Amino acid sequence: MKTQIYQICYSPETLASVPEGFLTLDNLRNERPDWREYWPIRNFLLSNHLSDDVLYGFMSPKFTSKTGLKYEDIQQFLKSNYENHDIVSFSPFWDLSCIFKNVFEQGDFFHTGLANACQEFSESHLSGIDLINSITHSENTIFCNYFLAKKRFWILWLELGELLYEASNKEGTDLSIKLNSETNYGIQKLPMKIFIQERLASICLLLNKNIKCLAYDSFKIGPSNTLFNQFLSESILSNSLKFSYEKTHNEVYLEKFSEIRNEIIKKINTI
Amino acid sequence: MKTEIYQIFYSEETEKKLDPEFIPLDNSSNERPDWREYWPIRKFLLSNEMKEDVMYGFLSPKFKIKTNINGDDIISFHESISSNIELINFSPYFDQASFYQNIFEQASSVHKNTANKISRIIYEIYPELQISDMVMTSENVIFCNFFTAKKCFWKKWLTVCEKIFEWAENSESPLSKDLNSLSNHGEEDVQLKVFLIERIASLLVYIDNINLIKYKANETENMENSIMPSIRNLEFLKLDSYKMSYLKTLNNDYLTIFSELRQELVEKHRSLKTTKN
Repeated sequence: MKTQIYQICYSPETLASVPEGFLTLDNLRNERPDWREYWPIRNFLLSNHLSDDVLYGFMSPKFTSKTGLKYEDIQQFLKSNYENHDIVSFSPFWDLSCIFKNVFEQGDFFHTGLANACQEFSESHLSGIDLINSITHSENTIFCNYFLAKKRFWILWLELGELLYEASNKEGTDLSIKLNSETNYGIQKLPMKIFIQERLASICLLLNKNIKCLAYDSFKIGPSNTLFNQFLSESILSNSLKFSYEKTHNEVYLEKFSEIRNEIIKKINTI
Repeated sequence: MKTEIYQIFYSEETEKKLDPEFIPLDNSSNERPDWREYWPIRKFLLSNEMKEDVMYGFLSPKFKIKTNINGDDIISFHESISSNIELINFSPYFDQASFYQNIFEQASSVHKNTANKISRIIYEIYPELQISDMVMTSENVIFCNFFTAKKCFWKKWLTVCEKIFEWAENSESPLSKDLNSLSNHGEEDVQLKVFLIERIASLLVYIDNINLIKYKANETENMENSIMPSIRNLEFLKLDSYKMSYLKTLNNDYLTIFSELRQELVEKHRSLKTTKN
């Protein structure tokens, strides 16, 4: 399968350090830093024709340091595993994708109000799909927009992105206030919409169960740099219990999952 | 969905204990006790025309004792499910289904000296199958033939069972000796053919990826942990989950974790037993 993998470049330094095999996506002007990577990806998708037989990806300059993956590793993985999937994820942070019930609960832990903002966005623009009670796991969680996808998927992703963009720009609504409210990101303050747009790929997968997704084993990529990264065996078990719940709808799996998650959070809060 | 769920009785005594929601299936003549419930089910399937839109089941008199499920619950459950479901699994023994990698590994462990015989017979039925590669979970392991299914599934089931029947009945068949060999079943000895027939539904569900539902009866809470009573039910849930994760992702790491946990539980159980003694 052909690929076009871009590194988004925000500075002369990142422009000079595009990994071998990657293409350059120039965002040196960085006109809308409030949208982070959504802005250059959006510009690319709105101004380029996409081919049906290419997997496109738009990675941040931190892709290699966060995933440990080089261009050849990606090609090798595709060669061995790709079977006409719509999307191929290289999502890092196994701890964050496994320990929480879904990416919204996880996001809310770090950015209070994110889950409600996502749900409100869903009520207004996604036919009310229940994001808060959804189940996401290592196979359908995509952090950092680290994925390659076919045109079909990118169109869907852009459609959701544009709904989010419009909703954020509509001044004075409850939703736009929530989307533009500031939240912590390390020592920085960023608008909430950034963290919602980072979950658009996962939302696409929740909305469309027929999308074929191939996930690079996230346990072979690094965990987050949060305190959750010390819970490897609990993460594997939590992930498994979520798979089992998704497959069987037997509440007992979810109950055990919740017990483990609560125990981990309790431990973290005492550190 | 419409149902015709039969409950087999072998005597006046077992007839009195039948669930009133089920249709009695008379096997009081019990011409071939060596085939256990296969005999009356076989007779029914060979002599009755089945309907396409009906879920059929043939349950033993011990159904309620083994599952703690009432007939009226089953009937109302059928009314609630979608018509594209091909089979509903009412199997008991969550501990056994989760602890073993598959139902044949379980049989080889529980019924002594049967592993090679089972492998030979399965090879004759499906030469491409390797028992050691098969991964089954509490969702698709069916013990005691406690399931209901549509006509097309029962037809397939009968076809495979009839192969076993013919091999067992024909003393010239190279598999006859294996199929008729005795193996332990609690206090008594039972022929291997009975244990195999009991596993054909699981085999077909596995091979054909049948669209099934497992009936939930709080099985982990009600679970009688017969394998290792000292081990918490949560551990069985973990084993089952690791197998389901393997089936979802085909990532061998989950099977490795499954095997490691199982080994750990066996050792823990042994050491607890030794301490008690």
